[in-house]
Amino acid sequence: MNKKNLLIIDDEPDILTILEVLFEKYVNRVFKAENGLIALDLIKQNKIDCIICDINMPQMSGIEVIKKIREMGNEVPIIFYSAYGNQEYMLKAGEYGAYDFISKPNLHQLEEVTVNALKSGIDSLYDQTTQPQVDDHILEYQKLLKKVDEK
Amino acid sequence: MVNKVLFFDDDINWAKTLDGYFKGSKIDFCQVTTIADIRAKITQDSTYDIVIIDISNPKRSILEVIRYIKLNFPSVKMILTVSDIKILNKLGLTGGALLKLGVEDVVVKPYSKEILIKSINGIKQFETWKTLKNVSEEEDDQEETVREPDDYFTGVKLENYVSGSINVFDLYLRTGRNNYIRIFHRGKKFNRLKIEKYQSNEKINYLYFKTADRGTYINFTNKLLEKMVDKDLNVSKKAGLVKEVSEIYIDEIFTKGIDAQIVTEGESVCRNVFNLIQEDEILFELLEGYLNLEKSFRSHLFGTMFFSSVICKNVTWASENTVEKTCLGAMLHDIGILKLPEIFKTLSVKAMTAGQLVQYKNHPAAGVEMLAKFPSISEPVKQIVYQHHEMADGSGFPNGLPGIRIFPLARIVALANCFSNYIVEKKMAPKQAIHEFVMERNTLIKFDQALIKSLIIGFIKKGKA
Ligand SMILES: [Fe+2]
Ligand SMILES: [Fe+2]
Repeated sequence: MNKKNLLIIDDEPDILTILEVLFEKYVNRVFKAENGLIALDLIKQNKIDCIICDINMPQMSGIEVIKKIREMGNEVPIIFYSAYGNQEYMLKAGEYGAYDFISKPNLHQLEEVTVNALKSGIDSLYDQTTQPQVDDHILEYQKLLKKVDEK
Repeated sequence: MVNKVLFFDDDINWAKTLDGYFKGSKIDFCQVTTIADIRAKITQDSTYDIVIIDISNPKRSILEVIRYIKLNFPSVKMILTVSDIKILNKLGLTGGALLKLGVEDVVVKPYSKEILIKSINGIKQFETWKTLKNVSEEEDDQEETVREPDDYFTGVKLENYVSGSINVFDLYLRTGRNNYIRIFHRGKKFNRLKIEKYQSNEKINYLYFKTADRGTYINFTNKLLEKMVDKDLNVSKKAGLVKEVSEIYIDEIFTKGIDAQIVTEGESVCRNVFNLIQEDEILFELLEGYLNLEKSFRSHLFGTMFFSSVICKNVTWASENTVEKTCLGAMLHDIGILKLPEIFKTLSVKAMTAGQLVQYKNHPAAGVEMLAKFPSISEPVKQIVYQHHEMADGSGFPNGLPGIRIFPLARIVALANCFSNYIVEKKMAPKQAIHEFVMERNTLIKFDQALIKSLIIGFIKKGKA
C-alpha cells in the first residue's frame, strides 16, 4: 500500500480534476488547492510527500508558495507544472529548490516525473543534510572501486 | 490529393501571378520569398505535400535547401521552376542528379495555371529529363584540387567515417595547408576502394567536408546512429562515430549559434549517445578509452555530456526524459562562456585574476540569457545551465545554494563537469582518475553522494556491481 500523499496547486479547477484522476492510483490521497493559501493550510495539517504546483496564479504565485513552504522548513519535492513562464521567475523558483519543471500540457511527462518523485525522490534525493556525511560513504566507495579494477 | 503547397519564388511579379492562380482554389497555398524561409517553414510544419522552388536565380543555398528537404522530409514532393533550362546544367542538375535530389518535376517559366496544377497532381511536365546531359558516374566523379582556407573544412577521422552508399555531401582529402582534393561528389556512390588507393601512397587519417555541410553531416550521422542501436555493427566504429558526431555537433552550436533545428538535433544526438552506451558495455569501455580528453572547449563539453550520461544510467530516479534534458543541459552548460573573451574557453579557474573570476562567474546567467530566446529549450535545460556551478556544500555560484536546493539534474551536470575537468587537469585516463577523485574528501563534499556512487558504478562492468 502506498502511504504517500500528493498535493496539487492550480487555479484552474479542470486541471485539478484531471490530475486527481491521473494520480489517484499512485497515492494514498490527493489533496487539491486552488490557491496558495489553501495549499499552505493543507501542508500545515497533513504530511505531504510531493507537490505539483502551477506558477502563474492570482493572489499568490507559485514562487511565493514555494518560498513560504521552505520558510516553514519543509523541503518536500515540488514539481512546477505551468505554461511557458517568465525566465527570471523560473530561475527564482529554481533557487528555492524545485524537483522538476514540466510545461503544460505534457501529462505523460508529468506522470513519469511525479511517480519518480514519489517513489524514490524523497529518500534518495532529499533526505540529506546540507553537509553530506562523506566519511560514511568513503568505505563503500572503496569497495566499489575494487570492482572497477576487476576484469 | 494535394492539399498543402509551399511555394518559393523571389521574383515578386511571379509571386503575384501565382497568388492569382491559387486564389479560391482548394489548395492550401503558402508563399515564401527567401530561401531561409523555405527551411524555416517546413521545419515548423511538416505537413506540406509539395514544395515548389524556383531556381531561376541560382544560388548554392537553394541546392542546400533541396538537399535538406530530401534528407529530412523525404515524403514531401519537390517541383522546381526555372526560367531557362540552361540554368539546370549550370547548377550541375543533370537528369540523374535531379532524381537523386528527389525532384519530381521541373516546370519552365512562364507557365500557365493549368500546367502547374497538372504538375502538382503528378502529371509530369518536364519532357526533357532524357535530353539533359547525364554524365556517367566515372566521368563526373573526377577528383578536383581545391584551394580554400582550412577554416572552410571540418575533418572526420577516417576510421570513424561511416558512409551511406551515396554521398550526402562532397568529401575531400587534405593535401597541405589550405589545399584539398575533392574525391567524392555528393549524389555519387561512395567507394572505399578510392580511399584505399590514396591510402597506399600515404597514411590518411582524416576525411574532410565543407563546414557549410556540417548540419547535413550531423543529421545524416544521427540517422545512422539511430539505426545502429539495433545493429551488430563493429563496436569501435560505433564508439568513434558517437564521439565524432557529438563533437561536430558541439562545433556547430558554438560557431553557428542555436536555432530550433539545432535543438532537435541535439536531443537526438543525446538520445542516441545514451542509447548506445546503454546498449553496449564494450562501447562504453571504448568511449572511455577515447576520453583522454584534450584541453579544448569541445572536448570538455563532450566529456561533460558523456559523464552525465554515465551518471544518469545509474541513478534510480532518472527517466528517459531526465536523460535527454540532462545531456542537452550538459552540452550547453558552458554556452555563456561564449559571451566572454576567447581565452576563457581554456583558461582554468586557478589561473584567473580576481577580475577575470568575476567575469567568469557570470557565465551561467549569461548562458540562460542566451537560451531564453528559445522556447523550444525546456526549462530544466536552462536551470541546468544556470545552476551547474552550485555545490552541495553551499560553496558554489551564482547563488551559493545549499545542496538540498540545487536542481537535481544540475547536480548531475555539476559532477560530470567537475570530473571531466579533473581528467584533463591530471592528464589521467578516466578509470585511473576515478580512483583519485574519490580519495579527495574536499571534492566529495561538493556533490550529492548518491551521484558519486552512480559515477563509480558507471565504471564497473555489468554483472559485477
Ligand atoms: Fe561552467
Ligand atoms: Fe564546464
